[in-house]
Amino acid sequence: MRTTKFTSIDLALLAVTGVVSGVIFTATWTLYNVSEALAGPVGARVISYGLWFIGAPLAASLIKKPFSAFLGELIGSLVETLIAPAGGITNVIYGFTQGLASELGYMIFRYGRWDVFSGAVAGALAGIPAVALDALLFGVIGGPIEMGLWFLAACVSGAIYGAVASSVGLSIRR
Amino acid sequence: MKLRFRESTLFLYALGISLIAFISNSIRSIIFPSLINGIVGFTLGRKKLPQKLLVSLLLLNVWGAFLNGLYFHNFGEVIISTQVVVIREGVIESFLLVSLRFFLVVGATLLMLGLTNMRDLIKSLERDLRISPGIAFTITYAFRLFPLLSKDLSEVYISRRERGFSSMILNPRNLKSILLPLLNLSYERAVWGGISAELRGLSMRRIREGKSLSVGDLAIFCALILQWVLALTQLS
Repeated sequence: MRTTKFTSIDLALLAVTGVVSGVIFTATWTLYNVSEALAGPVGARVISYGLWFIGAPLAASLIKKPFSAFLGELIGSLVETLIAPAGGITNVIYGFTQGLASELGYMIFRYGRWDVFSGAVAGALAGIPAVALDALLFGVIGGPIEMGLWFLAACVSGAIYGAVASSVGLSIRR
Repeated sequence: MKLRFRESTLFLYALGISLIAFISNSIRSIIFPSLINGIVGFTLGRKKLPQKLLVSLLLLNVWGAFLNGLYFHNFGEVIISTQVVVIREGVIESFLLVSLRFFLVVGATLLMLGLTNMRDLIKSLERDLRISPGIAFTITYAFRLFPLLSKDLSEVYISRRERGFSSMILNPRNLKSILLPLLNLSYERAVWGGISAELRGLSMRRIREGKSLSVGDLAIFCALILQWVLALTQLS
């Protein structure tokens, strides 16, 4: 287990990942709405949801310390809220829960793995609270099969984009 | 007389109001807080955010709410029937409910953004809500980096367009090809920014004493409680 103490450089890196993810989160709103019209709810989740989960694997693969995943996602959502509040402050609630779920992805490896696989697991886990909060806020509730499909789509998308974000982070911090 | 309030109170207000959107299950329970916060928020938000952004936010949310209704709540009596689409009662009800929720959360957030500036808000979160100085530094630094990163991103977009690629992220490969140059540029900047902050004594920074609650803060909390009571009494 590594130290949880963040150095100033870690905090500055967290800021960078926060801005990058915040900008991508903001752009994803348009992509989601367009893809939902063209590809339906499952297609839209596969295409776009993972982009909303990249804050955690990106920060974790760059900083490689406990809670970096949680903070990366949370700060990204805060930046998104403050630059273009498409989802208002609920973005922070989403960021908080998705960040916790992604953190779990690194915790299950006892903070010993920061590779592409753990990034994919962290991204996939963030899909669970995202779909659950959608049900609460937007009334996106279907039958068991539909709900299962939406969870699966969000998790698959999270795993793909989580793996990509991790590989980018790892290639920068060799 | 000008009412004084802590910026963190507005943050708590926006968060508290947004939670109403999660518990409201009928139009009746949400309409009053939505209209109040939406109208005040969008009026104040015009001073801080560009008009184009606010209009596009509204259109985006309305479109999202309509699609949401069409996919997930298309049941009940038929209201409009065309060869392309059939719109039933449930769509209209869901559209109104989700639009009001959006109006509520975006309105409350715009209200907060309209009455504060970013620097004071972060200072207040650190001083009054005791968020750690490290996190406060991260958020402040993120906003300082924002214009630089926006410029970097627009340059990445220009070079992508010149090579005939899309500037939108449509698949994981697009994401990778945008993230790599953006983070490559920012990594060195962040390392030296962190070293510079440390040399200026970031780790020795202590949280200042918080401001005491003023009449303005109490008025904001009263408004929050009142809207919660109204929403709870109208729950079906």
